[in-house]
Amino acid sequence: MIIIKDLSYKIRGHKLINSINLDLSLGKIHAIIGPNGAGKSTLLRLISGEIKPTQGSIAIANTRLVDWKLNSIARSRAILPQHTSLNFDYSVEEVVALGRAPYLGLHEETVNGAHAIESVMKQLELTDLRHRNYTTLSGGEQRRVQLARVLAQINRPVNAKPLSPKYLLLDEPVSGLDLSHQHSFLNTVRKIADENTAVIISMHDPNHAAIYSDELILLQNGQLMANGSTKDTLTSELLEKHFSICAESIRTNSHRTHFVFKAKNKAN
Amino acid sequence: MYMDRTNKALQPKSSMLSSNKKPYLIILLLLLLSFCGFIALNVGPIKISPAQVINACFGGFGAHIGLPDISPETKQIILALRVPRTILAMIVGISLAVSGTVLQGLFRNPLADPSLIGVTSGGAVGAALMIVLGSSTLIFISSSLHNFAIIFSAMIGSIGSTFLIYRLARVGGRIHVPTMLLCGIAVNAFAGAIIGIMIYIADLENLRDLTFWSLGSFARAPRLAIFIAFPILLIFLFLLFRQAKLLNVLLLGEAEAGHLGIDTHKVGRRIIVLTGATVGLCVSLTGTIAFVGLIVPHLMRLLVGPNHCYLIPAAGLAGGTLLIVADLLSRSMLTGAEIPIGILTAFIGAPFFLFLLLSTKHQKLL
Repeated sequence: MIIIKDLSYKIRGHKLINSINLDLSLGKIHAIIGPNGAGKSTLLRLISGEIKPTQGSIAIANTRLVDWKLNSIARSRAILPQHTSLNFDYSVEEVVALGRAPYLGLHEETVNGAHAIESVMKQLELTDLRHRNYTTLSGGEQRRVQLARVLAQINRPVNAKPLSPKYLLLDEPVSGLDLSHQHSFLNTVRKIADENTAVIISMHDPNHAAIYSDELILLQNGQLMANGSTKDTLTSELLEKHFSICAESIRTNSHRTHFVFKAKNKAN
Repeated sequence: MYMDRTNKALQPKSSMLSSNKKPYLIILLLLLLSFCGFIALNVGPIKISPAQVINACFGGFGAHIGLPDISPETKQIILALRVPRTILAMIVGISLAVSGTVLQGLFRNPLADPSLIGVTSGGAVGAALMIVLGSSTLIFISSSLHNFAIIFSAMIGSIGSTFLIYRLARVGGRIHVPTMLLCGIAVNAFAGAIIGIMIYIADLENLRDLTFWSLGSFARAPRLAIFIAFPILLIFLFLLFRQAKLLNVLLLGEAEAGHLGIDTHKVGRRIIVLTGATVGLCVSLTGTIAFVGLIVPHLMRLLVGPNHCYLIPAAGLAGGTLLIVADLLSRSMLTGAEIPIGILTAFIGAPFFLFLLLSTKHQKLL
């Protein structure tokens, strides 16, 4: 469980995150939505420890983030940044294998690592690309390889019981992926969440949030505007208010809410 | 998906060699290095047969197992002149190539060559300052102390300039490559100015030292210094090789490596100190030998890919071979004289650098 208390982040006088309180629980997918510049990536970078908060605290599994050892937190928490740049000619398999770096030198890692790499490559349909040069892949394929690397990092051994808590932070993971891979990836994430993992995803498409997330976090100008179960919180009124767009909600046959959007008519 | 399967053979692979062949390349390179090293012992103004060379390497005792007898002079030529020189060329070649490889890993860019970004000239400044200024103060104590002071000062100079470049080129956790190259130009120019001042105020004996040494040469290093530097460099190289797996992760990016549990600041500092010390020590022995750290890692990366567990040993062995061969050329192209090695490597290296800059693949990296 991740507990965020009174979290603020200020840079050169700009408050990018303004006293946010959040409880992120295990087994759930938390979707962070919000317009551009709302602070979605900043919040994820704060939770990842990449930047230090100017105020407030973050605790993961009852231990303050600053007190975690880098190597041990890396075994239970994986992060996919919004942008990655890798210019060296690694093969796809080698990039995925780098996700196992926190386990280097550990007992049984030869077996667990190989299993982790194989299973995530299968999940993300990368097996055929295994020996391809990463730098020659298309943007979407590269994204999938990076996703596989991140999933390999917190992949559990076959006989891991009981399920230790894990944390997965994804910054716009499906941007650049084709439709089928978007949904198969989010389905994979669903399965990972069900195995005692807290998943926090920033996303642009409210429909993805509607289908896949349990909890919704709406940010605007660094402030928490809404937080609650996606079912109750994500409404067309909320989207209209914060995204300056016309939204219409539709109930599907599977009792899910979907949204159809239209640009706001400026004249009104 | 269909295309993927049919075109497998045509698809760009990550390296020319598949994983299971890479260890064989390392063995091949090791054999090549040994072979070239042996050839280097055989070439010189005085003709000595290979059998005599082998006997000399056994200290003359090879005569008992059927090798031809050798005169004390021949033995002296091999053991006191050719062996130290070959060892020097080899270890400096290995060190420069490995330092280049590791720096390129740290800067996440194949253009980060120790001589281009000012690591070498930082060492040169350190050494030049100590040659000229130290000679007036330290010489009173002892000349070997002066030698050590030069080595130490060069190491500090290299470490300092590496830290400086890394600090300046790193913007928000990413390396800004144009800044890195431009900072290198600035550091090199500044170093040139300081060395210029040193040449200006140096006395005649120091002047000869400085010139030889700013061109890069294997001829001037004292034998004692070579045999002291050799094990130290081996230790540095071993420690650099131990960073291989961390470097592999670091190539993903600084933030990503941090997410994977690596203390990037600590690793960065360690790598800078180690490469700076290695390059500085080489500079103090032979002066500035440019571009070895650019050419060799680049070619080896094409062969074995970016995995540092293979790349570091491959680059090291190839670098050692390259400088042994270059040294062989530099002392056998002209009769009775030798071309300073630094001139030779710059001749090959500078066009190679231009080629790298112009190749489309690297334009993307800038």
